[in-house]
Amino acid sequence: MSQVSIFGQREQGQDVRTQNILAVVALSNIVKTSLGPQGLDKMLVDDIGDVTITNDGATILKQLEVTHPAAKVLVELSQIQDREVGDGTTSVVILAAELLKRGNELIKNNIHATSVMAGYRLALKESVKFISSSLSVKTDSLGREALINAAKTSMSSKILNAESDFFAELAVKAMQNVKTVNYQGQAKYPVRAIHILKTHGMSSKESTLVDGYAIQATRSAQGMPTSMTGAKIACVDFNLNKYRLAMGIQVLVQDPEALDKIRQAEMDVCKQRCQKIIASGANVVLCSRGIDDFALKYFVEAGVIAIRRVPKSDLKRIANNTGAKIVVSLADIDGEESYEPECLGTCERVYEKRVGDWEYLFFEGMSQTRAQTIILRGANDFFLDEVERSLHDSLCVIKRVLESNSVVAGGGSVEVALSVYLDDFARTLGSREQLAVAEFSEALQIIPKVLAMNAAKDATELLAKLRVYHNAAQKSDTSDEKKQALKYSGLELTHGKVRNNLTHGVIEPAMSKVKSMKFATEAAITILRIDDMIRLAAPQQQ
Amino acid sequence: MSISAAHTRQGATMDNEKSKDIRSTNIVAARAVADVVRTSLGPRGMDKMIQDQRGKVLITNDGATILKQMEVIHPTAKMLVEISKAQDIEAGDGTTSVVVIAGALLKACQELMNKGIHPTAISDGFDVALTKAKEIITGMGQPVDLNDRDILIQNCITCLSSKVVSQNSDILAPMAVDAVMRIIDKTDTNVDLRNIKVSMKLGGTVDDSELIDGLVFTNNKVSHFAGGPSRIQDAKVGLIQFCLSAPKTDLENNVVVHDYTAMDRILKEEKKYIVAIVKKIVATGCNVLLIQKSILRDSVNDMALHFLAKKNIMVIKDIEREEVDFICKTVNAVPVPHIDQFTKEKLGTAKLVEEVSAGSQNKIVKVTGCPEQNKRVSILVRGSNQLVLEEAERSLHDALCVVRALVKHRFLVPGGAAVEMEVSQKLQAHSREIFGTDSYCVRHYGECLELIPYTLAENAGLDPITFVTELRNHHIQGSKFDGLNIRKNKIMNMLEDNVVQPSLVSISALTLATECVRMILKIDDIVMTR
Repeated sequence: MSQVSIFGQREQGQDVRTQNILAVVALSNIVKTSLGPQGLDKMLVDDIGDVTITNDGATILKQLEVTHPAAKVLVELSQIQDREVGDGTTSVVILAAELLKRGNELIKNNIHATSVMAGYRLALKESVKFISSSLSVKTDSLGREALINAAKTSMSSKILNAESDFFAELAVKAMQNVKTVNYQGQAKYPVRAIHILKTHGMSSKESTLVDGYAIQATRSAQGMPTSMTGAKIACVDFNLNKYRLAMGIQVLVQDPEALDKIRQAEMDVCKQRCQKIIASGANVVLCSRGIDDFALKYFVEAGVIAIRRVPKSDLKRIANNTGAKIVVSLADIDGEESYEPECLGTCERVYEKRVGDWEYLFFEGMSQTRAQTIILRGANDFFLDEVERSLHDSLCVIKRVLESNSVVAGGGSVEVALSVYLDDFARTLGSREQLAVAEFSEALQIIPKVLAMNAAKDATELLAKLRVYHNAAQKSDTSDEKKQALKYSGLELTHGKVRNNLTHGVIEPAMSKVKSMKFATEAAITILRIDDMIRLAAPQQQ
Repeated sequence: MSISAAHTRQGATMDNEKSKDIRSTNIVAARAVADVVRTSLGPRGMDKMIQDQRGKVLITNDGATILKQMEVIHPTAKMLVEISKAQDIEAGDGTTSVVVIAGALLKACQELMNKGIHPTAISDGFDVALTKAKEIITGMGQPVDLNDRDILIQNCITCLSSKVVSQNSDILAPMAVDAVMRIIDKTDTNVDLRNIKVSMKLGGTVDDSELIDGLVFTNNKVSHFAGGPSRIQDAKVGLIQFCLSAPKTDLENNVVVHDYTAMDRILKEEKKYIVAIVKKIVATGCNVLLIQKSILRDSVNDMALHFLAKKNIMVIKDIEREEVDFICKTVNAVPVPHIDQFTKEKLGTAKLVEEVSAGSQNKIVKVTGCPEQNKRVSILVRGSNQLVLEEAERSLHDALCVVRALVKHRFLVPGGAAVEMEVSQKLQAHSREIFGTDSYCVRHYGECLELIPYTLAENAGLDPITFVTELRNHHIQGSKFDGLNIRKNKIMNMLEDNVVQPSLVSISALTLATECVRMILKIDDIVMTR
């Protein structure tokens, strides 16, 4: 058969599939060793020499500049898991790669790709149903303990493992404090309301949770007070510098006196603005841009704390939390300038404190919502970056548990339970999909397998034992409570045993499991469907 | 003709010999194109991954998109790309089948030419066959009632079944049908798909896609710069095309300041200028302000935003020029080119304008509850990654086109290659009733249509010969609605199983393919000129 002539290369059929899957598996092998509590970290050095040390799948993959288009799909997969769930970014990639590998084997054995995909979809549907019907546990029955345990489980694979008790407590407290109810009456737990500040020095155990907001900034002048109770905060988003005329305006003066007057006028404009802010009753002024030194004088005289160059994002949050309005211009509708007192936000106490080598400004008792700030301490910057990522993951996990209200047992428990269930389910299918469902069930076992392998335990033996337990649980009478409880069996990796992970507090949000399986299957199907790859050559440079 | 080309022609061997060669290279090149898309035909067809010159990756199943992206070189191959595009415009669906049919017809041509039949005669013969084929399809058509929502949805599901998003067809198909039904009158014979605005936003899954009775802005955020509102009920929407910022002097001109009092004046003048505009806007009662993008200067400056926020007016800026028309027609607004023309009558209305979050960081603006009679809707497509998102958008476009095809021509025919098989059978029977070369041509034309059921079965991993022969048998015995049901892997009455497609798709595919083949046949020389 003749080839169609195009500017570029074209590959077809099995070649493409094998090539795609090779790339994907290579990618998953990179992150494989970082899965689970005994997983190891990666050190990544980028092109400008910046070092990142991490255990987080999404971060690793983001830093690798993958070029293969199929591998890119997987990188995006971990990215979306990070955005939607926040945790489980490594396992989702490993699962997708395993599904692809097994799918490809089936196709090589002359099972049509479409049957494989149909089987995978069916298996996914059954799995999701099974998780919600029999594997998940409502958190109402577990209480606050559940939150702490879920946070601890997510930390267990990270650098925070040793101090997980301490940080789990911290994270849960912070998360519960930021609860808000939106206009539809739903409780929301915005992770973004928790501000994480990193300061190196001391040990990670010295990290603290501050009930309020903190920014890394200092008073603009030494003469200002260091603390202020009953603060009235003005958030200003314009320059408090000498007024400069806009482009296209030329200043032409004939005699030197006029020059002086113009200079004076420039300063006067700024002075009036400062005075108007002070006159409104503000005693803390946050400015996102510069404040001239001469202008500071007026603030010092009035005993006002003024801070310049506050990052815009911080300014916005402080404004939201204190009820202040960010003012971009003093102009009012009459063509004059004024600062309206209703733009001021209130806060019980604002004070400056030194933490480590840096000055921090704390805002406590904000009037609108309760913002939380976690100040992380640690030996060095790499450590702090990694702690921040881990903490972020844990916060997301807590949020999911709080919002979805159901958890599942961790440590490979869900995967094995599903695998056993799907194995049985496959045998009830009299079509080609049977094989694909069976492979899906096999593929799920990759998670406990890698977990055990990373912990240097006998994966085969542990897995066999785990399967026996789950089989017993699923075959047993619903009245036999002892056997029913076996369905929460999972791996314990320090000693290499099988135990009830629910009672031992190794739990994950059910929603995160469901989503990661959905994403992984979708990605696998997207790649399996491709049977033709056309690469167009880059246009010739003239 | 250039001199050098004329020269080579003289130097070439006998003209007759050459034109034969040209024809066969043309046919080979065109058939190669058909082979490329053949594997993506039908519900079990595969996807293509295409990496373009800049390294951007595209995954698609849509014939027209594949061919458009492929950049084929051969001029005849380009003709096939063109008919796929034409089918996309005319019917929206069946872009793969049209190319596959053309490829099959070309193969038939080769055989006929080998028999020594003159290309012109073949071309005429195909014309006879086409006329007959159209008659047959029309005869098979079942009338459709546009009020029957279910049957329209079934049509869309058939169209979507071959796409990546096929498992989401229960959401996308009703959406496409409802969208089209909203914008037409029952008596309309055509649909202007421009009245449906399809926007894409990354994040969520395809299941989160929605039909919005009004407008949706995915790229223009509400300006929160000065803390303006993000939710407005009973909105009065104004769209302005002028800038809300201080006018600039021309490049060569300067404002000259001689003393400090003038400085004060400059400060005040700018304020006055903007205050005057804002006051006029407020006076009209407008509470949602859309500002067209301007390349000359900032379309809106800080101070204006500050005033508007104070007056509780929502500001959405950077509206693209092309969007203005759609927006205005949706909310019944009139674009305002200058502040002096901004009056109450120019405002549009909407029940609710709201900024909602889509995903963790993204926000979109929804405008709902627009006046009923405007017949404009928007569809927001979501997807977990860029590739899926774009494919979902293309698939949705196909589904919309299917509904449009049904509005244009209110007949439907069974899917699953039932039409092709029936036409093939009837044409072969017809060929025995006529004489001369036409008879040969019509028979071959009929035979080659069997390639469609053959490919469908092949792509589904079934044994094509068994299925095609069985299907042929069914049709000879008179069950003319029987087709290949890929989901159940058996031959059955497609009308009963609700696998249906608009008859316009089939007719247009056959017409376009035949015309293109006839054109290729008539070429007997290629002359390259510079």
